[in-house]
Amino acid sequence: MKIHKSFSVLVVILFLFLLAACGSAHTNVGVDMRFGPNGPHMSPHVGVDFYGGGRH
Amino acid sequence: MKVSQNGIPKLIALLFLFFTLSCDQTEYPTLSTSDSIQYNHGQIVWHDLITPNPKQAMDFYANLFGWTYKSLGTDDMAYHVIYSGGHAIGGIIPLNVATHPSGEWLSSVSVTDVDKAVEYNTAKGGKTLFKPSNFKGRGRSALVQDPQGAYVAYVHSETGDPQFQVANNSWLWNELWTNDVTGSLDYYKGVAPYAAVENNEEKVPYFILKSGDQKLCGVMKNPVANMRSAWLPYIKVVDVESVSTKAVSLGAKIMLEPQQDIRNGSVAIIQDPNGAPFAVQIWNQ
Repeated sequence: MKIHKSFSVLVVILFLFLLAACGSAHTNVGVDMRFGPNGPHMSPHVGVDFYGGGRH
Repeated sequence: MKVSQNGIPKLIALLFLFFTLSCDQTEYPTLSTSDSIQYNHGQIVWHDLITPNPKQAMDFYANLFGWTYKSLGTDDMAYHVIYSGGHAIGGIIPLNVATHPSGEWLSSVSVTDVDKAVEYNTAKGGKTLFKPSNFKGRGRSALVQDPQGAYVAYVHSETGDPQFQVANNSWLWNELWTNDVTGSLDYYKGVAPYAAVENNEEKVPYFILKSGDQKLCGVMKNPVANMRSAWLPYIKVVDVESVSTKAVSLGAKIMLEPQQDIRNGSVAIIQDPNGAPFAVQIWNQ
């Protein structure tokens, strides 16, 4: 019974990690924090799934 | 254009810039060299790069696209006319480094009446960054921030608008990245005789603004988080991969790498060394 409960907790934790990973996938769109000789600065980038531009 | 929220210093810098330009008697290149004066209202007819480091920008674009320059005015506030293939295609304007650390390309839209366009912008909730003024050789122009936040210039050329033409290393397309697609489409239909046609071929909604049969520019949801709405110019190139690689070697950053699942690898989006975004695209039609 104790092993079963620990396993359930492990599954929940793994599920939470999965959700966090999905959240990171979204925040990966738009802005990078980059570090250079003058300190950190923001650098925008374009997410592949959010772009459909250019001359048609 | 960059993510920083330095709106007020930026506004002051732009106001100073256009005030200075309006006070001089410099003769700017005409927008059209045709004998007959014709207008294509809604067409984007000119581009200006505002940048904190004109020298670095001039070197960058000269090395990347072979552009040459002719400087007008005084050293402190010189206006550098860009030439590609012998044609004047745009300008480079210095900005104060302290107040404006990053650059941006400004697009000029041909309108019937600049003053009425500015009044319309105000009525819709936009801001006037520089009131309508006459520029010798150019015509009447004003700089505004549209209701969705994008900077855009309105111009009524004294020589008419340039003919539609596409050349390597010159302008190919213009696109509005907006944080409010519906609002922008509604707004720009009141600026010029635009008809918006949705293109369903892309993974995200994309609208082409047309006048008659002529495709003039595009509108899409801003793909960059936390960035205000802005116009993005496209430059026609022969090899987008080599241009991207060379741009990086010259100090640029890549915002979007060319890749097969985006327009068959024909597009890249680049941020020049001073932070001004632009796109390059292969175009063989």
